[in-house]
Amino acid sequence: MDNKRPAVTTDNYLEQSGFMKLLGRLGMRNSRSFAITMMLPTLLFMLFMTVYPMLSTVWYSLTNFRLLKAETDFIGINNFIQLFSNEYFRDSIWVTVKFTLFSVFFEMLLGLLLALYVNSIQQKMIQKTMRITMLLPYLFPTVTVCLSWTMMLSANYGVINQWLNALSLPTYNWFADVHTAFPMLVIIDVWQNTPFVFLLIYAALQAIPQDQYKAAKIDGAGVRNTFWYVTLPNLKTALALCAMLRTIDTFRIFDKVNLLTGGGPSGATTTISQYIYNYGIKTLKFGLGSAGALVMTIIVLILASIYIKNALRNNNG
Amino acid sequence: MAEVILKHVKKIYPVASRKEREFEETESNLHVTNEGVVAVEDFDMTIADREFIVLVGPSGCGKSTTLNMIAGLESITSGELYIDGVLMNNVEPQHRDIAMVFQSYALYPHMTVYENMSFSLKLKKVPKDEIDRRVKEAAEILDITQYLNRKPKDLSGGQRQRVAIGRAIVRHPKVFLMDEPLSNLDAKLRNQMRAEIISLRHRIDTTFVYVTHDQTEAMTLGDRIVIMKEGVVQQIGTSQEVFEKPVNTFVAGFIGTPQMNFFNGELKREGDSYSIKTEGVEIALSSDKCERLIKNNIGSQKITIGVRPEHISLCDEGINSKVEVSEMLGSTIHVHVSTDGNEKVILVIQTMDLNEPTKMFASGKPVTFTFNPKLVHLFDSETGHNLEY
Repeated sequence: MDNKRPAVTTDNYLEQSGFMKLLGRLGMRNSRSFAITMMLPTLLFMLFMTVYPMLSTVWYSLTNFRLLKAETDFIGINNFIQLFSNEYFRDSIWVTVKFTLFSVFFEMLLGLLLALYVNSIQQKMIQKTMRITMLLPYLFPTVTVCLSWTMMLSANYGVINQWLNALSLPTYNWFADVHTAFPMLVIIDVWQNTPFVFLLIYAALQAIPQDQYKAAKIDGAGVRNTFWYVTLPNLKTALALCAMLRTIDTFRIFDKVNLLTGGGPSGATTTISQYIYNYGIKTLKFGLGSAGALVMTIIVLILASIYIKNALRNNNG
Repeated sequence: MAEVILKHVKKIYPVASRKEREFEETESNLHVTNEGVVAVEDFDMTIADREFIVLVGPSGCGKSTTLNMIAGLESITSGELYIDGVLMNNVEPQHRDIAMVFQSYALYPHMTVYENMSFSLKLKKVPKDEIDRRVKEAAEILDITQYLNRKPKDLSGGQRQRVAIGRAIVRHPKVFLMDEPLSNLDAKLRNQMRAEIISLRHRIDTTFVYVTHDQTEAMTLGDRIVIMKEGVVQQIGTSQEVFEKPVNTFVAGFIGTPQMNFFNGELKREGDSYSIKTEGVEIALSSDKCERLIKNNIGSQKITIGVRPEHISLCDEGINSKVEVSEMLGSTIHVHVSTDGNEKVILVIQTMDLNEPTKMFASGKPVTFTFNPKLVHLFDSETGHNLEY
């Protein structure tokens, strides 16, 4: 082996290629300025794609910007005052909170139960089949999900009403009835997103060391104590992460609401996003819409930080 | 404190499909029958009260499965298990009055050391002051009193293993089971913990069943050693017995470091005297060896000769070889040589009286050696069984 030949490293390659001389001429020979220069294109792209729209939203929220109006005036926090004095907006916050609470609760509960059940199946083949089958609802595009459910729940030709009819039970106009529209939305959201929770918790369950279960068995822990003292503490991080992701996602729900009910009947399913769409985007009042979007972002940020502070940071794993 | 009796204990894992069975047969060295994969075959042994038994063998030999069957974590396919005279086959682990220490420590990560140690007593609804007394007593024995309020993640590997042992001690079990407890520790800590286990054993004075793949641990800890291979017990005996009287080539090769050298050779019988011939050299056997061979009615035949590296000595006339590699270890040097008959042999030579041993055993140097006929082991070349025992 030729030991005299120096090893090729990035540094001496750059030195040899004259690249460092060029940098020297540009005044970037120290590693800090070099690193910044290298990252600049990405940073600029990121600034353009995220920071600029965000700042624009903040700016629009303080103006009376309307797409059909030529002039735009700075109106301070008037948009926010208008929003919070509007009963429909306050209702939309309440609907969103209610929707998030119900959906996330049932998704977490069902996801956990399903994960525990599938994980307990001994036959690997069945476990694998169950895992894939359970993921299907999550893999469908929301539009497909909404169309299928619209057809199934159709008041006239829907299969669900046909079954209820056959069983001589009362039928409903599911999405047009004030009493059923909201629960139906929750059910469909839970149906589609439970697999996400299932998958995350199932993966966490698989990662729990089997020796802990053996030790618990020898220590005399029954099924209940094993779940309480071994399984649940080991799942804490996954559960917290899951709850956080689902809360953020559910809080921003728009597609299902817009496709299934459009916010109706009589605002029973109008979430914040749907409100912004109905009263900001559709009416081209972008200033008001931006203010609504900001309010929603702040609520989501508060929720996320509560989760991170209480559940994720306190993890003692 | 209890006697543990295993009567023809067998463990077979049923194989689900034919495909799986074929995979097991080709991919592993496990014994597969129509019933399934045989993990432990006819384990028959009585472990005396307060005895320290070590199960040793390579990976997949069934040692951990045997331990799990004693613990109740694996069901017994056939045979009987008695602890303190009571049949335990269908008794739940928590009712067997045993404690177990795992290789991975298996501590509950969200509980403090104190909570980890007191968990089993809490479940048994032992009064709080009694729990406190027992935990503190165990912590004192293991020198972990200062860590009682810490969580496992804040402890080093050695400290975690001490907690795991402490968790077992507080239960005052009849049988103490240990599944490779030192395997996750580094070499230095392992030696230290090994010494601690020996002193612990004298302090708590109960029956121990210890599983390891490390023969040094087995030799130093066990009153008796059980050597297993592919689910079958090969030999049960004291450290000295298995070292001096290995029943077959597997035990002979497994016990002892560096491992025993094996030569193909011939056993010649002339009347009541025997000699062995290998590598063109004929060596007469000692009278006690001859007596044992006569007793077993052994005639002239092809054999495998086993000689431990430390029982080989240098000489002027003997087996000729060339040095391939030598490993200087300070007080000894391990010399790997290749004989004229192309056998690979390891010699352990004391360096005390040698002048520049590394030069003396440099690669390519000729070495002539012989071995003490009193200390050779004679095995059947086909079955591998020891012809003397």
